[in-house]
Amino acid sequence: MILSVGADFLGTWVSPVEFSADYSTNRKVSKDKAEMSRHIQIESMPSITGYKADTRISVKPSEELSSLVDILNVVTGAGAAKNAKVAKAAEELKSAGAGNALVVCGVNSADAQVIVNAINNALGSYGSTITWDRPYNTKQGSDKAIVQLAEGLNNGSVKAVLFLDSNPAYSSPVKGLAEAIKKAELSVSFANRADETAQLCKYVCPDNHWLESWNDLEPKAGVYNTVQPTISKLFDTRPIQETLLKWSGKSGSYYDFIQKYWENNIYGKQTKYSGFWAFWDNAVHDGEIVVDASGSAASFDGASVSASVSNLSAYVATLGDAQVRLYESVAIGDGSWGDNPFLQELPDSVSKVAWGNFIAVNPRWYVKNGYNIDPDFKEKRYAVAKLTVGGESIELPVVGVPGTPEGTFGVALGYGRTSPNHSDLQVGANAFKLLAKSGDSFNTISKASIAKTEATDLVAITQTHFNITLQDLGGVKTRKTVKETTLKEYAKNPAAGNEDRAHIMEEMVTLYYEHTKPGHHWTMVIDLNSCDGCGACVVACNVENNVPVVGKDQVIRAREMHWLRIDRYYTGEADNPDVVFQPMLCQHCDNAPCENVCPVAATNHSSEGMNQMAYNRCIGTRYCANNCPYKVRRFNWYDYQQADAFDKRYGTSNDQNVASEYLGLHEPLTRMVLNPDVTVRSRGVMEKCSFCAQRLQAAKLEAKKDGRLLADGDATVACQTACASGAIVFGDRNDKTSAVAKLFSDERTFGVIEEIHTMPNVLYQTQVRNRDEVKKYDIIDYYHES
Amino acid sequence: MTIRVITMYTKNAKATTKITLSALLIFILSLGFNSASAQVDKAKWNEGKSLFNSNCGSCHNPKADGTGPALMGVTARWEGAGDFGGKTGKQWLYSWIKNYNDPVKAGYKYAVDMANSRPSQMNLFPSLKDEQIDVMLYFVENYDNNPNKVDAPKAAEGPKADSGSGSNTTLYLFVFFLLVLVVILVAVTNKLDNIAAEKSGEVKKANPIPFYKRTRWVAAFILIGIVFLGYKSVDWGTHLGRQQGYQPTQPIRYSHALHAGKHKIECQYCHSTANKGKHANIPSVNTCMNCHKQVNKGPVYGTDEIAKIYEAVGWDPVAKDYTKEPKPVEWVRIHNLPDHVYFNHAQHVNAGKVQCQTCHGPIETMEEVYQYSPLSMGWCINCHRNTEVQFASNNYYSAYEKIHEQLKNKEISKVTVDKVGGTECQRCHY
Repeated sequence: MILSVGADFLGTWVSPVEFSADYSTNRKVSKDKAEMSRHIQIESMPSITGYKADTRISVKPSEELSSLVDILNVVTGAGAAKNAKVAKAAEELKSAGAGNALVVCGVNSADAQVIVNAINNALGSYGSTITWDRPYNTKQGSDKAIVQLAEGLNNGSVKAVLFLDSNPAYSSPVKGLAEAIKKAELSVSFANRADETAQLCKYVCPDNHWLESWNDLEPKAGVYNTVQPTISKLFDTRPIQETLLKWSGKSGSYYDFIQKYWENNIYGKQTKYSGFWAFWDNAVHDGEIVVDASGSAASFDGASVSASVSNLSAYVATLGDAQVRLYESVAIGDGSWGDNPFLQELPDSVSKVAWGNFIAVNPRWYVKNGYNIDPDFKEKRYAVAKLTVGGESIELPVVGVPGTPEGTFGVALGYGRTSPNHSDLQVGANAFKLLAKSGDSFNTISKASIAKTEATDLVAITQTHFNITLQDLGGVKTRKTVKETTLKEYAKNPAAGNEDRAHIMEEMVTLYYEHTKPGHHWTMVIDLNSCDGCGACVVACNVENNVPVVGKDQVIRAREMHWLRIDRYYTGEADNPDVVFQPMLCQHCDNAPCENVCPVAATNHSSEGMNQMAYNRCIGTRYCANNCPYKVRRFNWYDYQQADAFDKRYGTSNDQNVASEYLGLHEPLTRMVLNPDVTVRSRGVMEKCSFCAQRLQAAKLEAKKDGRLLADGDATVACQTACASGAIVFGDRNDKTSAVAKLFSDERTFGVIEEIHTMPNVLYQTQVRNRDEVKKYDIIDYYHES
Repeated sequence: MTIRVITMYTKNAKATTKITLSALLIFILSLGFNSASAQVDKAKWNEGKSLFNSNCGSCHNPKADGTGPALMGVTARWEGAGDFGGKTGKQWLYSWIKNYNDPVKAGYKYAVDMANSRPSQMNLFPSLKDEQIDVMLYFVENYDNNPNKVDAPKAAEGPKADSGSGSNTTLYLFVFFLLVLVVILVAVTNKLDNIAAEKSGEVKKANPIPFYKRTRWVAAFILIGIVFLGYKSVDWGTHLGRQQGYQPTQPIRYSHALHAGKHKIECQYCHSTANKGKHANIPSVNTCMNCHKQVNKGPVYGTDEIAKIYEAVGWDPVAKDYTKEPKPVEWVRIHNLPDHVYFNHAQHVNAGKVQCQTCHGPIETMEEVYQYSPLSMGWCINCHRNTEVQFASNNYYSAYEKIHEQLKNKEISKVTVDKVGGTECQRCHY
């Protein structure tokens, strides 16, 4: 039983990749194991974790804080809870039994965390669901320290400051910090790109990229990692570590230093290898050495709980009706990689907005207050509002996000960077300055006021792009693109929620001949129950397959090139809907509607069950995209990668002063982003998911070279390797022992819109929720209600 | 009388036209056979080459000084040295080649000078016959007119597309000009015929329509034109960017004929990644140095070309040490596939057990490498249709149960690449 209060542990909180993997392990169900963890999320601004929860309790930001007090009261029996839903959740926690529950909280407030500890202590979580042996060494920043730094710089007691992997001039809400940095007698930034802080420093000593240098890490106690360079350095940089060695008068390289350190400090802690060189070689080869857990158990000191409760209650009392909830989006996070176009173009999992942040509000509030200026998302024009917290204010477009309670205004951090060298990357507004100080920490929840302005802005929201549910015919209700059930139903009938499939399969007749697959039959099964919609697969696909980034303007025109998108379905009650995330990619139909209509046979079927696309044959009629029921085909409206500009760059002269618009991917540095095994598509051709044909061919070749059968798991696709929760399973269906062959015949498995007999090779598995309420398919349309 | 004369003239004119036409036809037909260089006897040249390479090649080259002097023009030089002791200069040359001591002992001045000019001594070849020497000399003197050489586009540096050679265009223009001439002659003959008929008072045809106004003629002409031009443009289009026969001059005159052919060095000794990876590497100069640390003089170019390796790798042959700053050899790329094609050497060499020569041609006979295959898609596909995969010997293919069954039931006799999907788009294009 997991109860999370505003902690987006699948998306952004502490170590989301690791948590996703662990979380989904306990959430995978099968006929043999019809059991899973129960997850309740109490939150204001919706997160993918909340959308993924069995039960999501939608509360205002202030209630996130007060619900902690409620839970504490119920769990310890000290008092009654104000919120009935929270009280019910707390009762469930209690009844889960000692050592079976865990409460986490994502609010950046020491008082809140003290209460969470008190709750966990009362639940008996220590030593069972919370262990001490491997505490995290990450996320150890201190809000107090940065305030002290600013004070010290201002009053002259701090004379020198070095910045490594930090950009406080952008990300710190401390007022006047930028001016203070300038006052330092010595300020050095080790940033390897011109970030906001580096621009203020007297000296910039660019560090290597981490893939260019040796390093070692200890992310968790007793987990040691080595980092080895994979490329020789591209620029005139020096690893920070070597710089520090040199400055401190030591000789030798950092590699020697690390090696010496490992010999003296880590080698002795393990027993697996005898002899340092065996140990070192394996440590470098494996990249990881795990030694016995060393953390010592601690006991909870309840002394400060009552003080924390009164502090928190006092803070809650000041918050008023309108409250801001600052959060990190899954793609951009704290904004340190805000200059990465792949991340900017990834639509936010919750809101489907790319390229910029916005003020998330309740959709009904949105309609009531006159923000509904474009109900059909035709132009994607949104009214801009001014949000004020304390003395600071930002202006951003207002977007309705289902699941946000009224009076809550969610704003993503990490946007509004001013340093990226391309103006297209300077998107959104910096919300870090809205962080309000409470106690020693900057709180993500604070009192706010909002005022509509006359301005409007375009928002690159992909919600209405590539719609496959036929909204006019009843949406999800008639076309069951996603299927859901509850755990109880599933335990009774493994085909629960998927009952109609048997009938669909019976009805299947065809006039077309069947493609033979003498060797492999590549198939993918995606477990909707595991997918949390984080979007890692989308970025992995982009990078693997040279998918171009098209920019905000083109995304607004629904021309994003993503081969794989995450469809998000809202069902259930309108103000707090249930959400199903569905990765949608080319379904590689064995009876593909696109193949029949191509006039030049540029898209056709392979003997391994793949729907192939020959770019050089394509003449760009776009019939295939029109005929694709899944809307997964993408057309190159422009020469996004500037492949056709080659002549302009190289054809006539080697003049280095060629206009920069022709440089693009012809610049050697930019070109390094490309996967050399995958064609760069030019303007006017259709493209789509290839099932990572290059990876499959490579895996087959390795097997042929070794003269062995291709084993299950040899051939992987990019999205699958990026999926932390293991939602994507890929393999050869003809290999009867493969994981995918077993899932193929599972009762939970279904194909999207397979009633039209497309015979897809990408299949999905029913979402199962561990709760009592049964799903009802309702159409949710806030924007056209009378 | 006049009339008869004119008639006779017309008859003669007709005969003349016929003769002209046949001459033209013969000329046009003969154009096709004219282009090949015919003056060098290919068989003799090749025999001479192999004799030369096995006997003389390790010290001599026709054009470059090696251990021995460059030999081109040697016949003329000896003949020019004059008769002596009842033998002609050429006979003394035979004698020198068989045993160079003989003419020296006899006191033939040219031979004595020659023996003194070089510190090294020539090997003895007493078993060589005069006829064999003749053949070798034929090769040496005609070294530049290699009859085997494929007509390569004259691309000195950097790849250039084969865009139809100039001589062909001239030929077509010429043929076109001749056709026009034929048309004019026919027209003139007709006109003269008509005049003659008019003069002789024969019944005149009513309004004779000139052929170029007759619908059938014009239609036929246009049709032929469309077919011809259509064929030419498709042909030209499909050959765009192809460079079969491309033979650039390389920075080092490395001879595959010597290394792979004569010394039988395994291809993958140098191109070691062909078996493992996507690319067959161009070996680094370090690979060259495995042998050329010792071998510092070649049979053809002497020390000149090997010195370039030393220069590139920074080797000082005197001090026998790597002392200088190395710099890369700027080889000119010959085989270049378009970016939208994926080709993997390991797939073909290792998994497919395809010989290097299947695609790269008789590389072991090439002095300078040229592109042997067209590297066109049709060429790839044809091979994929005809080449058998290692179906029985490679356990990977045991997954193809259906095909194994077909083989067992004798429904098919062999498993070619296309049977396992080798002609599908996404095997090479992705």
